[in-house]
Amino acid sequence: MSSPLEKFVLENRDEFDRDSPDPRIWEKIRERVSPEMDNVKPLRSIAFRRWMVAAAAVVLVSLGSLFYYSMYQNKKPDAIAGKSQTPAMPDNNLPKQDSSSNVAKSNPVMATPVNPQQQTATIGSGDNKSPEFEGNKEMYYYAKLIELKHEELKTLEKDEPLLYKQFSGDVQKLDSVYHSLKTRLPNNSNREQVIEAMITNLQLQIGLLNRQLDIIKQIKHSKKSAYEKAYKSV
Amino acid sequence: MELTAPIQVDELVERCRLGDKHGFSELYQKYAKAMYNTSLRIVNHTADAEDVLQESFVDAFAAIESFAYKSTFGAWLKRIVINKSINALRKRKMEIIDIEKTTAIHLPEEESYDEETIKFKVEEIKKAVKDLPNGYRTVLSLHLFEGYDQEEIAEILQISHATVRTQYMRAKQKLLLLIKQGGLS
Repeated sequence: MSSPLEKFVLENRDEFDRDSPDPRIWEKIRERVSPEMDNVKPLRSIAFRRWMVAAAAVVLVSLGSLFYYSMYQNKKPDAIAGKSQTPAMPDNNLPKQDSSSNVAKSNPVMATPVNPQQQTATIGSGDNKSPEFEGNKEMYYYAKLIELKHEELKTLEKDEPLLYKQFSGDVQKLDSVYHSLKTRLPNNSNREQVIEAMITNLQLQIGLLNRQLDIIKQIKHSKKSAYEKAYKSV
Repeated sequence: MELTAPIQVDELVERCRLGDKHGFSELYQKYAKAMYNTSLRIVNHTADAEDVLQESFVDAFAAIESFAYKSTFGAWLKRIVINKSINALRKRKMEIIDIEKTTAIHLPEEESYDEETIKFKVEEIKKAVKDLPNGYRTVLSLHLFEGYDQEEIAEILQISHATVRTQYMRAKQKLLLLIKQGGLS
């Protein structure tokens, strides 16, 4: 339907919007909506705060575990070893022995190569069959899962841009901890613990992503009903 | 007005959501004039159009938290304005479209004005639109100026597609007649 009249209107569309409303209208609107204007921020903040507390807790726990781990790592040779347990053993071997016996119980595959000589050998050669290999498999699985969740979260970016930004920022915090653990791995005497920390970190990331997706779903749901209500009531 | 392309995040809207009071003022400045003119074409009465404008912005700002980018903010706001304008018109003039009555306005089905020969002028069109009966003016405005398609207009006015179609054709004929008469006098 494009007759000369329609074409003319389309070409001169702006010319038809030349009337101006009374400037006092804005003042009236401002007076009436100022409570809402004031409310906008707190309302938002409450929603934000609720999940921020949850996310912050997760981040804190992971950061805490990292610190605990590194403290443990640094102090163990002199402090813990000197204090009790097996003071007779050489410092360097202590953590490995400890953890290898733990790992042996839970993971028979990992148990085999864990003796000091073999381990140093594998670090040097970069052999795949090192203890981290099993951990790698597990980590790969988690990483894949995280990737999927990320994609799911990304689809919500359009609807909830601010929330998405916050959320991905939180996941990134955890992820940076993961990467710092990863860089420590090659020259760390306590590989199993690092791997364990890395896996825990990945699990935390998954937990966080799940929680974020839940929150977004809830918000979407409540928004949808509010939106439709507003749309239909006018 | 349905948009299939993903709708860009509106920075102004997001600022308002974060509590930026200037954001509201800027949104008003950006849309007030267009919305006022849209309303004015339907209600045909400046005071009513200003009331509609005020009510629409108040409602839109109150519901900005729930705005979900199913359309652009402008399109969403415009729907609010149009719904309120139609309600205002109904309140003032009873029913908006009565098919029996409008068909009673005698316009021979076959007669049509040759648009090609008319030299259109904005002011003449505006004046002719103002002189249209309410029902015609509403349907014509929604399509000609606001760009809604038949389906959308049918939904907005709660009438059938066929009615929208015939109403629009007749409204246009009437408009052309008024323009011609206006040009002659």
